[in-house]
Amino acid sequence: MLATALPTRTTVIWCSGLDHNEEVLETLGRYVAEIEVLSLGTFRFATIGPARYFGGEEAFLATLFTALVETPGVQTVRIGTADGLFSALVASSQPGSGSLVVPRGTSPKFLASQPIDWLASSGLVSTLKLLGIETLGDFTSLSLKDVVTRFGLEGQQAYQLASGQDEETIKPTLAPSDESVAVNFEVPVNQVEQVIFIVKSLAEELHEKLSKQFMQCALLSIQAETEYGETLSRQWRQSGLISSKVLSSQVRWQLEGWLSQPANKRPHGGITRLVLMPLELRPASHYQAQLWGEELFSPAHEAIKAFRRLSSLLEPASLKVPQWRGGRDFGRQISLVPLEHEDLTQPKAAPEQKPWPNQLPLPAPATVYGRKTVQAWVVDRQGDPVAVSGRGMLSAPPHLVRVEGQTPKTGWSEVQSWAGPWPLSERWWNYQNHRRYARFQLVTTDGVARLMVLENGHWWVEALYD
Amino acid sequence: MGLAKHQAVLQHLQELDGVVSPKGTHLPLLEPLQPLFGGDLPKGWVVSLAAQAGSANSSLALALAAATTAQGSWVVALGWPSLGLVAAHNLGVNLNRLVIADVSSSEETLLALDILVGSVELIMVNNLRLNGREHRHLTSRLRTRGTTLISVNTSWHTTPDITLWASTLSWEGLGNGHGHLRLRRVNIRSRGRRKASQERSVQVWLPGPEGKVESASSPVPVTSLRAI
Repeated sequence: MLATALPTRTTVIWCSGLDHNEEVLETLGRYVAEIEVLSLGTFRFATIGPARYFGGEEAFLATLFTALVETPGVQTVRIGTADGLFSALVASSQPGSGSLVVPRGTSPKFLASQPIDWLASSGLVSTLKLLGIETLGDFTSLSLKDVVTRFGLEGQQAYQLASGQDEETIKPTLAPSDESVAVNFEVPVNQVEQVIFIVKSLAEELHEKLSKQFMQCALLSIQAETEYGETLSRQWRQSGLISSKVLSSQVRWQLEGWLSQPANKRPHGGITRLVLMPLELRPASHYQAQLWGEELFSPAHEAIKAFRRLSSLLEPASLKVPQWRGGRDFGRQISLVPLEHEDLTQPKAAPEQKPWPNQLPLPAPATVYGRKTVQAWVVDRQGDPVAVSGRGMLSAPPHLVRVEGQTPKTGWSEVQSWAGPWPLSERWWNYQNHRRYARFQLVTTDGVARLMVLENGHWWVEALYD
Repeated sequence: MGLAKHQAVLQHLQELDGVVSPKGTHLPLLEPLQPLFGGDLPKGWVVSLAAQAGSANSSLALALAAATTAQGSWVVALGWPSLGLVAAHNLGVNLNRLVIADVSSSEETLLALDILVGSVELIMVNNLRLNGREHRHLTSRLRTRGTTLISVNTSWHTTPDITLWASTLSWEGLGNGHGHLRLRRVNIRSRGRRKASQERSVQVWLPGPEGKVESASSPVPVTSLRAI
């Protein structure tokens, strides 16, 4: 079930104190060809090439560390190298010297002793802690099957991270080149404020373009040209669900980074052209749960996290989501299934609107009670209970209705209009569960419309059209 | 310490989140209901549907939530086990974005609200039984976190931002022993605080011929009659 390929050797760098990324990127650019920006102050790149050149990862990180500490604006630096992004992130945050190399193939062992809190899913973590699970190693000593049963997709992805098997289970595909969007500025741009709205609409354009193909950007190249023909470009890694607002913030930060450099470093002219070019795409439907970090960008996922957390604290099956089933009862056409069994990030099949035999005509009632939960009494003008004969004949038109909870003295409401009986015989093939009943719609003079059921001489309110 | 660092990373990203996440001021509303609010549904508001005999409150609550689910936002129906899901679907609610939360005590209700407020944009709540202090705490949290709450069967100790009265004027289609319920004409009045202090009203079909909410007349603004 889990990918078995060894994750790429990855280095993560975290710099604090930054207003923008440019100076750090410039420093890194002297050592590394392709850097991905994860957010303001966090970067990652594949380590193998540069490390070989510097005579090993340790030596490489030491060189890098010294260079970064001397970079203007940087307050603290932490570096970690390991197999895959998650391990590298954890490695970059260990106490001690500020840099750590986890040797190839030992990431699972390294992670095993780390606290469970590294999994940023608070609901999952608090539940695991209640079970006495304190480290990632404790967690991965559970069976994957149990974890998936209990925590679903989120559990599976957490398990995958905790065992050192990293991220992209679905490999991003290379984007065809014609996906890029571009804008030319007639007046060269020297300050971001000049073009903030253009940047926003450009990001929206790209987002929309990709969304139409059900894709989202996995790796974005932001490119600019200046009036003197200089070309600038940076790659931003996109994780989690990316909204157009996330995209436009990244572009804004990048422009700010280029334009707010000291005079000797910034481009010589103003920016005249901006291109957003997706380098890698992935299907938008595939939800890439990054259990740390950028998942926080998406409000929809924020909600899903809250549901997971809440469902772990309430009784099992307290949270439910609808699932379409069909059937003639309004209470059963759509069933509710426990939320913890569902992958909420996957769109479900649209309901099929096929007419079921004996289905009640629309509209559907907005309140549907369980079967035989709200008792009622219906009498005719003589005050006798209204009944239906075996042949479906009504004893007399209904005149007054009283519902459970209302007093027999004053609780009667007068029937204004009604229809029925609509006899139904359900599961006639099954002697045990066989059910015969008749349905009515009744509106009383107070404006209340009810769907009522007469079964074995007893009246029940089945639903309210409220 | 790794943990503290991790927290720092998360906090950092959360700060960014505050900068970049969609932070509009309103949730979308189906057009026929917009006159009640003078536009879309403001975030962070308490919308109270007043209890009265023959009200259309459940349908109205669903219709108010429909456009929010249609744009992909999650809506939670809290303490609402008898919510009619077929009606919800017909009124325009995207059932893929609806969660029904059953709570069995006021502790559970508070726990659920604690976790959901700020994480989901719209909560529908039925029969909310809280004390005055809890109501005040809830309303101020809703306001600061931008989550909108629609309540039915709830009497508020605080003043809701807006109250709606949905009264059934007539049912069409049902006769004396024949026909079936087809359309309902509903008058909805709204009155609230501050910006919403002018009373508004609108007549709608709830439901209309397609099962949806439809305008039944042009909105008639009612002049506010307030004691001086």
